[in-house]
Amino acid sequence: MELIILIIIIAFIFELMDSIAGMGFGTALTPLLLLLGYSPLQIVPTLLISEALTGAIDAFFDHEFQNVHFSFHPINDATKLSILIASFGCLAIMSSIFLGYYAIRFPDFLIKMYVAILVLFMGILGIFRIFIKTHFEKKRNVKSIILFSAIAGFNKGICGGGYGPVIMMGQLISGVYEKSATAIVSLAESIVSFVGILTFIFISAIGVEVDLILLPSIFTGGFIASILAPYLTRVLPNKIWRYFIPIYAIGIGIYLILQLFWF
Amino acid sequence: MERSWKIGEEARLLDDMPLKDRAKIGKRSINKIFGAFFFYFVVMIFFFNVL
Repeated sequence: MELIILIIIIAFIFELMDSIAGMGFGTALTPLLLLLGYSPLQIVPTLLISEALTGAIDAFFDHEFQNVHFSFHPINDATKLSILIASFGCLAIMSSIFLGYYAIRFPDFLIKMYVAILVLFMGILGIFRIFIKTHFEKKRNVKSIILFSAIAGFNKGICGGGYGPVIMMGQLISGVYEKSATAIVSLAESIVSFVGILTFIFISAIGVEVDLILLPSIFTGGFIASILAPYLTRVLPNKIWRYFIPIYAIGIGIYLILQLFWF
Repeated sequence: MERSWKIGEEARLLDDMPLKDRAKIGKRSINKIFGAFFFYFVVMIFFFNVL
């Protein structure tokens, strides 16, 4: 194992954006690392381990910097929502990792195209949401959060990304404040990634080889970003994030589609 | 069941404050940042020596 400066810088940029916008680390970093010549079994377990750690650090500092308030005694809405999102994500990730790596091999192009279109659609939905306030935003919409959690967990399991955009937009559509939604995504993502790691440990025990050469570099970049991002979220006004989050989702969707056809 | 999420109330209050006040963080938060860096070094030692 060694520290690779380029990977540290890339991980820092994408984790910073991920922590601020609640998306992009796995979705955007996976194709970039594939482009640099790393294999899916070098990338996906590494991203899961790194996100489990940096997601928890990010959520901790989001709480510390008052972007959100997590409480267990008594359990509050933010904690309940994180657990709800994470629970469905965990179920989905366990089944999809088995499908993707052990039982059924999905066509690579189809997976990437599906995630790219989904992310783009979520971004466009996010833009519409700013201008058209729906009745969903005025009340709790637990059913839609459950649906978004299941779809997001499935995405994460089959390609290591596509979790944040779906969950993030799902929360915004359900009326959660932008600054807090990013923190809830980070905590849920951390829990889901931790379960993903356990699943990878299991499948590696039954013969699938995983390589963690990128882990120290990805974690180093991600760690610095996971402290800086909650601070930036605190300092900058929420209206910036209201526009930035869906625009960033559209950007990721376009990047994924371009990457699919041109690289 | 209440009809709206009780999430982000602190963040909304903070948003109403001037930028200068939002930029300030307490000594307790700074200590936690140092604690996080200690955690980072422990994790890196684990990565290089155990994995």
